[in-house]
Amino acid sequence: MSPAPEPPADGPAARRAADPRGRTATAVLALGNVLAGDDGVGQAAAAELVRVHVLPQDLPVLDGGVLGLHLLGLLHDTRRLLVLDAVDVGRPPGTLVRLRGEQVRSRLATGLSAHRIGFAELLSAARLRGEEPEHLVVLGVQASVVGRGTRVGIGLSGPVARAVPALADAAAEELRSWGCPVTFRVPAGTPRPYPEAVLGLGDPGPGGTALGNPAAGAGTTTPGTGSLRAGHEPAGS
Amino acid sequence: MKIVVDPVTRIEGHLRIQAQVTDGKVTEAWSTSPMYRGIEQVLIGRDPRDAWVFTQRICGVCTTVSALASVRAVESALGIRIPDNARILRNVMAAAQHVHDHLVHFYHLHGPDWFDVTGCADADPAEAAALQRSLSEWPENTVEHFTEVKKRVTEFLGSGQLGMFADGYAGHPAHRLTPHGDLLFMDHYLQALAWQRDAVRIHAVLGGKNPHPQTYLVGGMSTPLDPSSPAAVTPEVLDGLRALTRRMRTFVEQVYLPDVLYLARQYPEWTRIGRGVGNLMSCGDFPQADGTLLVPAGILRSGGTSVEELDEQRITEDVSRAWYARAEPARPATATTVPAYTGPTPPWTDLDTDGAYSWGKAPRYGGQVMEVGPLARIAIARAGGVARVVELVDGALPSLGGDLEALRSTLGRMTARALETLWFVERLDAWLAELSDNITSGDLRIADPAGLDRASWPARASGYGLTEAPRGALGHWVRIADGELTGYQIVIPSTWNGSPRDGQGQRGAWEQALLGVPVADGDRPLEVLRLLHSFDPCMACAVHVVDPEGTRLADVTVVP
Repeated sequence: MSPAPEPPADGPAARRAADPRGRTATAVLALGNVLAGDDGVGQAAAAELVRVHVLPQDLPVLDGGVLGLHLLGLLHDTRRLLVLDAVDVGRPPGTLVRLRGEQVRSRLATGLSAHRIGFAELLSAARLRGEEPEHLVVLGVQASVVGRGTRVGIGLSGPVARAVPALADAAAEELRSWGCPVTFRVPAGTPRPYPEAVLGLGDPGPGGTALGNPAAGAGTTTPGTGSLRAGHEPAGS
Repeated sequence: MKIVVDPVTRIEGHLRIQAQVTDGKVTEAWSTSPMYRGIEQVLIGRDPRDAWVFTQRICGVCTTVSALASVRAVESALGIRIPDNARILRNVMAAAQHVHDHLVHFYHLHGPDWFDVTGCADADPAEAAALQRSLSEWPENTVEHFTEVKKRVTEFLGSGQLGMFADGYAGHPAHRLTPHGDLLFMDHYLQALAWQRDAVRIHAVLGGKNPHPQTYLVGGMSTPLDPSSPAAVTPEVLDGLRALTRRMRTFVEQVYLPDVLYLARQYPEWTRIGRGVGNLMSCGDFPQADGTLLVPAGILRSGGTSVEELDEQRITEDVSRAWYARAEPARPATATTVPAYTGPTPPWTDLDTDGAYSWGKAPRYGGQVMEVGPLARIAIARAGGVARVVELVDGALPSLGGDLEALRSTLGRMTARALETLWFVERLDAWLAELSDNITSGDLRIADPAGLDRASWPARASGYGLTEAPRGALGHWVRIADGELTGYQIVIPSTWNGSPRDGQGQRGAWEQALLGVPVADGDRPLEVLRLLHSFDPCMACAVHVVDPEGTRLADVTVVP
């Protein structure tokens, strides 16, 4: 084949400067189907992360939806990857979970990812090509309603919605531990109400209840309290 | 012996197949979609102009086509016409999805049914290089290259992280490639991973971002075209994409298609197994400048040689054996989705298939079962005399045993998929050139804003949008009243192919195609997966093997 001009890069060139292999230094990836209840918690936390925290301009915060191998390019380009996701580890709904390194692979391999996007396959494909991120951490929330039965809709269940600020703060703290300058937009200690979206739990009606973002009840967290212990232990809060 | 394949694909979604096996062959089959989707309910009451943003989230794979069907449906209801540039952009986005999706499906989802990764350990790199040279001009054909690949794969196998290969089928007796054949496929598997990363760039550039394109719009597209703006799509950007599509095409021509035809020659019995219902349907797609469709619409019946015109009004959905409120078969335009679950309380393992047994409805055409997908598109285009398709099919037939009827088979479906991949990737370059010419001549229109003013809409309107998704015919039907969606029905390709029985007792397309499929080892029903994967089901999996009395013999987890 004759050499052909490269198509334009799909991100700022600045992102690629940090690493000798030209990879993006760090990326945040939300996974899940926003149409399937609590499966959208990753996206909700990503939005909260961007809303409440000041992030480096060149830090991509991406919505990966439920796509599998389509995300391989991102893994190829990324040295440190932080994944936000709904998980099912048999804990009470709303429990925060942190997985890293081999834990990610072993837990995913047992069906941890509620939407089965094939993130495990994605990781093994990246490993086969020698393109795994050096650091991989999954921060998740134990889901309650993941579009099972006829309870399909947009919006998180109560316990999971209340965990969103803590998940976003945990993500911020994780990024800081990687050396990313992440700061609160609001003074530390400010109470932060979070709108709670509730699915029609127990309502077997057609299609369940799809609520946009009603401010019915409010979860509240305080900046700086979203820390997590190592491993997949529930966070204290 | 009863086999339950639950779910069927290696990645993404949910699907369950239950099959009865007698004397080493499938004698009965039931296809179940155990997951209620209910997206239609989420859309009621919303602004029709927003619907595509939601529908592109239905599926983990088909983002662009689900957006496309939605904007077409709303445009049809409101009588909105799109400018020529939007037509081309939509063609490019959809065709790029087909090309990417088909190749990824072959190497990363279906390929491991046909090659054995553990065989690579015994492969002779020199033999693999010789095999590569005998198949095509593809330049990665040296002993050094295959030595390096063997080393990498052997290390991977040694790590114990089999990942997507840990499906229990490594070393299965139905694997018949030589070790160097296995190594060749594993090499291409790895190269295809890099290839697909390139292919999604088309969506990133024209769709604003990947994976979820942002540039659809009722009335056209929002991809900015401007030869003088560095932030817009310019002829230079399009030149870059054209070069990319030419590289994609080389891989399809020299690797993908030759590999599929090689499999057809190595597994000739699979050009006879899995014929299926035989009735084929395409709703047609890719409007061209002259108003015709590149992929023709039509019906080709089992045993027929001429294509009948497609009549949208003859499409109905039957819910006799599905978990919905009882109703007569209805056109999607007037149908409702009212769940009435009568199945076992989850989590369940065994399903009574005498009554309703699926969340999937049974779409029918004039009451008949239809297969949709690449086979339907290629067979209908071939029967309709589309010159490029006649050429492509005739070139492939010798590998399929010579006769056209071999297209209706497991390997025939795989071949049709590869052939249309080549057909579409060729068109990508041509469409991008067309777009470039339009921009150069000063035509920068991408959308017709006239129809976007809600005040100008009729009080009530209805319409439908059809598209050919990678897996087959996809339709969205909308009803609009006072500017809001009051009805939304979606019929996806896997609903056609994976339908349960209907009120007449007719089996769905997968259910029919499974009949007669051999099963050598009930604990590892690789043959069932070969057949099902040839349809590229859009939904995921564990395999349960049960004897006629319902006693569980083995559980094999197919997907993590």
